[in-house]
Amino acid sequence: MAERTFPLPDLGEGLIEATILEWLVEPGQWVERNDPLVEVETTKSAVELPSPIAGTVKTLHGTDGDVVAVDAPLITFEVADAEAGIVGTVPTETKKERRVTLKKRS
Amino acid sequence: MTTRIASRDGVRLALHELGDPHGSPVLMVHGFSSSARRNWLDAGWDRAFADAGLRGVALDLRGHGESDRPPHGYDVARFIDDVDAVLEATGLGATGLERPGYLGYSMGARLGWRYAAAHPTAFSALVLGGLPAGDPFRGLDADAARAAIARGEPADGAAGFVVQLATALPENDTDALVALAEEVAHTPFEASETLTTPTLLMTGDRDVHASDTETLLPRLADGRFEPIPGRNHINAITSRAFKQHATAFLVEHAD
Repeated sequence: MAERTFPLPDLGEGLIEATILEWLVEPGQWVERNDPLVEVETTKSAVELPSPIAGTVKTLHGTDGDVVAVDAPLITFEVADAEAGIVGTVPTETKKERRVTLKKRS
Repeated sequence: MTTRIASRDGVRLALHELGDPHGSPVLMVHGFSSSARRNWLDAGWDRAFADAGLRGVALDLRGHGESDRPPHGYDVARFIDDVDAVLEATGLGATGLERPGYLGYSMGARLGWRYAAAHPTAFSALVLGGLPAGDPFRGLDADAARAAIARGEPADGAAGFVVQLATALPENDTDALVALAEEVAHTPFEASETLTTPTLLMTGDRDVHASDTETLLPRLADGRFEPIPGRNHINAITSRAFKQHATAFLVEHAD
């Protein structure tokens, strides 16, 4: 198994941090891609972040009410080795509208 | 998927499809200075609707999102016309077919109330979130709002509410939004009619902008109120409780 960590994305408001409103998953839980992971809020809006991958939740980097900086670690998954380190994977689903999503931590 | 339609006065309105494409239809209308994307898509309603078997048609109100932002032309009658145009263009207003539900937040909830008061059988059910019993635009000094925005300062009273929301998000057109609030304020909301459409009112229990929603209950012939635990006017939109109660109510009352 390998680990993948995803940072808090830029929520498109020119803000550098957001508050964890409510985690919707817990460590040890299996989640599918696009399952809701967490609600985060800024002073201006609230966003539900979907899971960017399928995997087992290993670590939540913060609890409800914590402030997290944009680009700081938000969640770590355990994934099959074949899932780790792949870059440039072509999505098989049809193009969706722009939405705030988690990006692989560089 | 996003499509564009024209309203009666030629203003182009953007519609966003979400949820289950084969589900029961629901017209979704966001709040002042928000958008279909901010209010519904980014807040996780695509998934909530898909799981519930509902098809969302989410409107960007004129002056917002991907709809046109004319400098003027935001009186209440035009918003009513816009709902008519959406129902006609999508076929959701056709007689003899399944009627849509309606989900609105804040100013979008206010529009749903006004529309259903005039058209009691247009929607199978209404879910109205974050709806103030009074009118936050009442007595708006639009010049004071414009001056405050120009100076980058807060304002008082209704202008303060408008300035705070209009300047919150970078994509907003503050001139259009102040013009909108100014024109809508010419027709202050009076909950004088009784709504007969089945209606669920939901407001965050920390929402200082709509703390009086429950006082509208006597105006509902068939309605109830559910609080959204722990949430305020901004962060109620992602709430599990809001999504679960709203989708269950819309499914229960679908034609």
